[in-house]
Parts: sequence; structure tokens; C-alpha cells
Amino acid sequence: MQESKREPNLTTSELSPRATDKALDDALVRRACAGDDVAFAELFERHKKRLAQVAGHYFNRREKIEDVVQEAFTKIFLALPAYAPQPGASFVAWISRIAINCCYDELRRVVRRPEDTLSNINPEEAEWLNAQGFVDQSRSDVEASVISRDLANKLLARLKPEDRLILTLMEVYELTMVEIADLTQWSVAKVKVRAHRARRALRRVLGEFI
Amino acid sequence: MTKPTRENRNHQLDQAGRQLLRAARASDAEVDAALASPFLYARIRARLGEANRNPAQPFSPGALLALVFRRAIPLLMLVALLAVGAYQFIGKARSPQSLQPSLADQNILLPISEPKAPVTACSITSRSECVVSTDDVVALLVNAKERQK
Repeated sequence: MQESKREPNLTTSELSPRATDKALDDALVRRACAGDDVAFAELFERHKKRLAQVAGHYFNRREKIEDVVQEAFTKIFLALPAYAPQPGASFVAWISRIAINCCYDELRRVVRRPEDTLSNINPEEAEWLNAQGFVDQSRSDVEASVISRDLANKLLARLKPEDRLILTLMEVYELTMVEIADLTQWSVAKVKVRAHRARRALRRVLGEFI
Repeated sequence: MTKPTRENRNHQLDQAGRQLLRAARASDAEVDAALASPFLYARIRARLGEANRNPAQPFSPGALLALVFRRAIPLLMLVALLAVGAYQFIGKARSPQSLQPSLADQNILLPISEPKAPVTACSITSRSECVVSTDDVVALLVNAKERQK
């Protein structure tokens, strides 16, 4: 994957708030920690879309997104007293990290319950995949995007949760190894090894059909 | 020639992988639909209320030990029972009675407390298949006597 061929980064802005927003967040956190329910609700309203988008990168079923958002906000509010605003870090980065960890937990849970995923691809689907490739959700061809997403779900179900996590962070968020290490709390060396393995696993999965 | 081809192949698969990951994500409409649930915030408040009513107990070393013992003891007992069962089963299968030939198999013409077989080069070896049996010796002697007659 060459850097020069990458598409413009559209999604990392989800993780990088403006300075004024950061100050407002920190003020709301202080109020919420003091027991102010209105501040609590305002934090929820301000960040629910962001966390739902994070969940939406891993799950495309509405119920799953709702579950992850619920889980993430519950963890965030329970951990609020431990949150300490720091010059280099932001509240958004902190809650994004919690949301990504919730997604990772959910991916692992799905793997433990294989009845949630049916990853068999029939010959017609394989043929379709070879001819059409994957279609982005933004395209207007609804039928093609539905089939494409169904196939994508089946193929991604064959990956390990950590592979899926790291590939999404690399390819969708376009984060660097250091940023991923910071987000996942893994060492940079571990992220590099995982990234290499994840790419190899994805190539193996796709190589069967493309 | 193979290296550039493999690189091209990998590049093609990486490109497809990127499209795959983007194809699998939820659309903006789906994200909005998930957030439109009127009870989303209410459910979070309920969960927080539940968490506040039943705060998670800190995990003490004593509790950890109790948990380990509670899980480990039945498991160890099961393993021990299986081991005893397996030992008894194998013991029965290899019991001396089952290894000895039955009375019908033994040559009834010979006394049970037969004299020791003559020491031969072959019987010196400890390998049982090499030992010349008494039956063989008797048969040889009978044949020799018949020939002399």
C-alpha cells in the first residue's frame, strides 16, 4: 500500500476536534463529574454521532451500532472522574479510544458466537465479486451496494478481530502506526507486526475470490 | 519477473481490501437511524443507574483464589476420576489371567510342572519367540524313533 496512492483523508477529522470544542468538552466534563445531569446530556448530544460513526466502521446493523454506542457511553460516563484533561490529549480522542475498544470487544464477542455470521460464499457471489468488485455505500446503485456489503460482511467475518480492528484503523481512518499504538494502547512494534499479519490475512481471504 | 508480478498482485489485493473495508461500513443514513432511537439516552441512563446501584466490587486476591478453587477443584476431581477409571480398565485388560493361555490350550499330555527345557543356543536368548518349546522337542524325538524303527 503506497502512501502516494492513498485517497484524501476524510475520516481522521472525526478524531481531531478544534481547540474551542476541547475547552467546552472539558468544562462539560467538570460539570458532569460534579453531578450536573444537563452537562451529562449535552456531552451525549455532542458526541453521539461521532461514536456512532466509529461503530459504523465496524458494524452496519442498526442494532449493533446502538449497542456499541450504549456500551461506549456507559463506560465513558463511569470513567469520567478518571478523565484528566491534558495539553496533548483531548476528550474526543479519549472517548474515541473507548468506542474503538468497545467495537473490538464486540468483534471478539461475535467471533465467540459464530451463529451471528454466515461466512460461506456461493459460486454466484464469487463470480459477482470477481466481475463487480466492492461498491462503496455512497454510490447510488442500491442493489449493487447491498450485495457488495453482504459479501464484504462475509469476507470480513473470516478475519480475526484484531486484524479487522487494525485494518480499519489503517485503511479507513488512515492512521499511522504511532497513532494506532496510542489508540489501542499497544506498543508500536506490536502494531507493526499485527498490521503485517492483518494485511497478509486480508490478501489471503481476497485471493481466494479475486 | 515473478517479483513484480507478486507486487502487482499484492497491490491489487490491497486495493480490493481497502474497498472491502469501506463497503462494509454503515452508511450515514444507517448511523442516523441508529441514533434516532428515542430510548437510546434513556437506556444509557438506566444502565448507569444500575451500575451505580450495584457498583462492581474490587477484585481482591482472596476472591481470586476462591474463584480459582471453585473452578479448579471440580475439574481436578473429574481428571482424577478419569485417571482412576482408565487405570482400572487398562489393569483389567492386562491382568495375568487374561495373558495366560487357557487349560484347553495347554498340552494335557505333559505335566504342569514339566522339567526345564534343555539349554540350547536358542533358548539362552531371552526372546520368547526364539525359545524351542517342549512340544517341538518331543515331536523331534518321536520322529527320530519312528525313523529308527
